[in-house]
Amino acid sequence: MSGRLPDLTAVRAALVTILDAIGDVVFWYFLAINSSYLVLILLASVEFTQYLRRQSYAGREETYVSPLTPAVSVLVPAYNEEITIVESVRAMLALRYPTFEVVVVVDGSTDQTLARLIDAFGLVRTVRVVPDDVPTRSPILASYAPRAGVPALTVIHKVNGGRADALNTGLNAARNPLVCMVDADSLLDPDALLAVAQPFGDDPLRVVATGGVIRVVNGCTVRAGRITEVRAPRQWLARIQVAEYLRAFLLGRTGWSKVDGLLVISGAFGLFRRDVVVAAGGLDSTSIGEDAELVVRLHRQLRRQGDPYRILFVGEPVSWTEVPSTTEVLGRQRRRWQRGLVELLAKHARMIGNPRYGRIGTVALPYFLLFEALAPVLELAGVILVPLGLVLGVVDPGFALQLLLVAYGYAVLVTLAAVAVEEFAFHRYKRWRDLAIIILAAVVENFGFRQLTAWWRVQGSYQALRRTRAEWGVMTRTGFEQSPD
Amino acid sequence: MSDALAGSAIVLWSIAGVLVLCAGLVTVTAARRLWVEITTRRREAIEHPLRPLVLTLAADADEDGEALRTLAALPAVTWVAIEPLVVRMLGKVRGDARGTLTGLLESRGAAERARRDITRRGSVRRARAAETLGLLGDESAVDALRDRLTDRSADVRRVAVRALGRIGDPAVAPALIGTLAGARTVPAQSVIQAVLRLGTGAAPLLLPALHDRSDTGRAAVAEVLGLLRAVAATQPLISVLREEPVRDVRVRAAKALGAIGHPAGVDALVGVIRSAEHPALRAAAARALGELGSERAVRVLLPLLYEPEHVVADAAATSLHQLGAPGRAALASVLSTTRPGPIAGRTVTDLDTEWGSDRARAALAADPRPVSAAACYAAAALDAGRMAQPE
Repeated sequence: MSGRLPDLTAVRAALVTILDAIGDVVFWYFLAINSSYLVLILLASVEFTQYLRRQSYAGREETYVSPLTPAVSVLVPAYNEEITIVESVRAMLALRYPTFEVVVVVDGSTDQTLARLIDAFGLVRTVRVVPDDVPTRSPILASYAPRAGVPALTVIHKVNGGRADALNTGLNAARNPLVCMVDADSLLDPDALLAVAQPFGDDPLRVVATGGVIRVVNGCTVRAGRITEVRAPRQWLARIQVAEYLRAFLLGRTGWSKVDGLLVISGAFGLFRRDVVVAAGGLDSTSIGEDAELVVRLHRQLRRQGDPYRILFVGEPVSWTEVPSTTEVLGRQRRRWQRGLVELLAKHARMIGNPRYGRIGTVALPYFLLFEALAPVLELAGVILVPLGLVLGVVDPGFALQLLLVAYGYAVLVTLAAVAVEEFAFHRYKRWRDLAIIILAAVVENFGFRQLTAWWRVQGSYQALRRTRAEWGVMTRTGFEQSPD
Repeated sequence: MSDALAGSAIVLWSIAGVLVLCAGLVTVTAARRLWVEITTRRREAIEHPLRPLVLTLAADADEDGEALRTLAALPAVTWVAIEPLVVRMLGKVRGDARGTLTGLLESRGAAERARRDITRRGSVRRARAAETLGLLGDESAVDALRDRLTDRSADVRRVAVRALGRIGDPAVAPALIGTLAGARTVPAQSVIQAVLRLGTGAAPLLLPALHDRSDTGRAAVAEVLGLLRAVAATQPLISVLREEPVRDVRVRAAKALGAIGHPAGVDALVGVIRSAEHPALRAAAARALGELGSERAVRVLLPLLYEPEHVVADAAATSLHQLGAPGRAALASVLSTTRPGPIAGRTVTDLDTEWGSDRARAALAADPRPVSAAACYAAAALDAGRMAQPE
C-alpha cells in the first residue's frame, strides 16, 4: 500500500501541472469561442434589422415577374430516398420562380426511388446529350422526362458514385445559368428560390453564389410538400438541434456573410453560377465536405484571378430538412461534418493566414481552424480534466462549479441571443410552448449533447487524419409529418 | 486552474452577469412575443370587419359606393391600421378598381404624405414614400422621384426607379438608363424592368444609350430593346452585333435581334455563326436564328450539329426543331445516314431499356449507320418533341 502512494502523488503533481498549463487556456478558449459567436449574432441582427425594414418595399414580386430573372436548374441528388422523394420533387416543382427546371440525379439507389418518380410523374426515357463539362466518376444509365413534356423535370439515373459525383452529373445536365443544389429531403419555402436568386439580379456581374438557411423540419406539419405549421420536434435530440441550427446556421452564417467571410454554403440549399462552378471543375468527389470545399475553392480561384466577386447568405425564406433523431445517426453526421472540415482545411492549408486571399485567408479560415476544427479537442480536454481533477482532489469543487457556470452559462447566453433574434426577426415558432421548448433546449444542450458531439467530432478528425474511405451520408428518413385533410 | 482565476471576484461577477443577461434575454424574448400577439390581435380586430370592404373595392364590386364612403369616413386611428392593406391591394389590381383605390388613398392624404416624406431624413421613410407614389401612379411626383435616382441610399434609388417605371412616363427612360453607371447605381434588373413598363414609346429614347460608356448600360439597353420588340432598333442592334467590343453586349444584341424578329437581322446573325467567335455568342446567334424563322436558317444551322462545342450544337438542334417542318426534316435526314452513339466529351442517353445488354449490343452492331455527334443532337431534339418509349 505504502509503495503505491508515491505513484499517486506523482500523478497528482503531473495533473496539477497539466491543469495549470491548459486549464486557463481551455477556459479562455471557451469564452473566446462564445464571444465570437456573440459577435456573429450581433452582425446578423444588424442584417436582419435592415432586412425587416426593407420588407414593405423589397419588391420581391418584381423578381418574380421580371423576364430578366435568370433561369435556374434545381439539382437534387438522391440516394435511397423512396420515402420522401416524390413529395420533395412536387414541392420543388411548385416553387414560385419564373423559369426553372428540376434535375433529379438518382445515384444508383437500391430502393424504389426511381420507380416512385417514374410512377408519380409519368416519366419516359429520353435521348439526351449531356456534355462532360465537369468530370464524373460513374456513368449515366438513362435520362427520363415527363411524357407530356411538363413539368420541367429531368431524372438522370446513374451508377452509384457518391453525392458530389451525382451533383457533378446534375451540373453537366443543367441547362440554365444558375444551379441550385438541394438535398432530396429538403422542403423549400415557396419563395425560397426567389430569395436566393435576388442577389444575382441585383449584382449580376459579381455575385457567384448564395446560400440559403436550413431549418429543422422534425415536428412541423407538412401538407403537399409545404410546411403548414412550424412546431418544435417531439424528441429532445432534435429540439436541441433547432437551437443549434439557429445559432450556427441562421445567425452564424449571416454574420459571416455580412463581413464577406462566408465559407460554407450548405449542400442542402445553395445557388451557384453554373459557369463559375464549371470553371472551378465542379464538386470534388473525393472530398467528404464537398459543399464547403467548393465554396473555399471558388474563393481561392476567384481571388487568384483577381475577379471581383461576392458569395452571400440569405436568411429568409428557408429550406427545411430532417435532422437526426437518434444518437447513432447524429454521430455519423457529426463525424462526417468534422471530417469534411478537417480535410478542407488540410487541402487549402496554404490559404490559412495568407493575406492574398483577403478576409477569407486572414480571418475566416484561421477562425475555422481555431474555433471549429480544434474546438472539440479542447472541449473534450475540459470534460476529461475537470472531473479527473475533482476525483484526485486537485480542483476545488466550488471553484470548478463556478467556472462551469461561467463557461456553460455563456454558451447558453449565446444560444438565447440567437433565439431572441429569431423571435424578433422571423417569429417562426408561433406557439408559446415551442418557444419555451427551444429556450429550454438552449440549456439542455450543455448537458450531454455538447460533450457527445465533441467526442464524435474528435472521431471525425481522427478519421480525416487516418484517411479512411468516404461514403454517402446515410440518413434514416422517417418521412414528413402530414397534416390531416 | 491557475491562481489568477481561482478565488477571483471576476468569476463570481461573470456568473452573476451571465445569469442576469440570460434572464434578461428570456424576458425580452417573451415580451416581444407578447407584444407581437397583442398588436397582431388588435390589428386583426380592426382589419377583420373592414377587409371585405377593401376587397369589394379591389374587385370593382362597390356598386352603391357604400364601401368607399365607409372607408373614406374612417377615424384616423382606424385608417392607419387599414392603409397598408389598401396600398398592398393597389399593387395587385388594374382598371377601375385601381382608380377607386387610388382615389381613396389620395382622399386620405396618402399621396400628400408620400410627397412630403420623399425628401425626409430617414432612408426607410423616403423609400416607403417612393413606393407609395409609384403605386399611386402619381404623375406629379415624377420630378421628385427623378431627384431620388441619385439618392445616397441604394434602397431609395431602387424604389424610385421602380416607381418611375410604374408611373410610365417614357421621357424618364434615359434618366433610368443613366442609373446603371456612375457612383450611385441601381441593379440592371430593376432598371430594365422599369424601362419595360414604360412601353415601346421609350425605345427611341434608349437608342443613344447603345453607345453608353458603361458596359452594363449597353448590355441592359440591348436586352430591353429586344424585350420591347423595338423594330426600329434592328439596324442599331446589327451594328452592335458586328462592332461592339464586349462579348456579353453582343450576346444580348443577338438575343434581341431574335426577339424582334426582323428579317434584316439574318445576315448579321449568319455572319456571327460562320465566324470563329466565342461559342456562347455563336450559340446565342443560332438560337436567335431559330426564332427569326428564316428559310436560310436550315442551311446555316445544319452544319452546326457537327460542332465540337456542346452549346453551339445543342442550340442549333433546338433551333432547327423550332423552325418547324423544314428544320425537323433536316434533323431526320441526319438520322437517315448516321446514328446516335457514344461520342467523346459527351454522354448520350438512349431509349434502349436494356442498356449494356447483349441484345442492345447486337442491335447496335447490326446497324450499318456510322455514329455521329450530329445524329445525337438530332435525335435529342426530335425526341424532345415527341412521346418517348415508356419504361
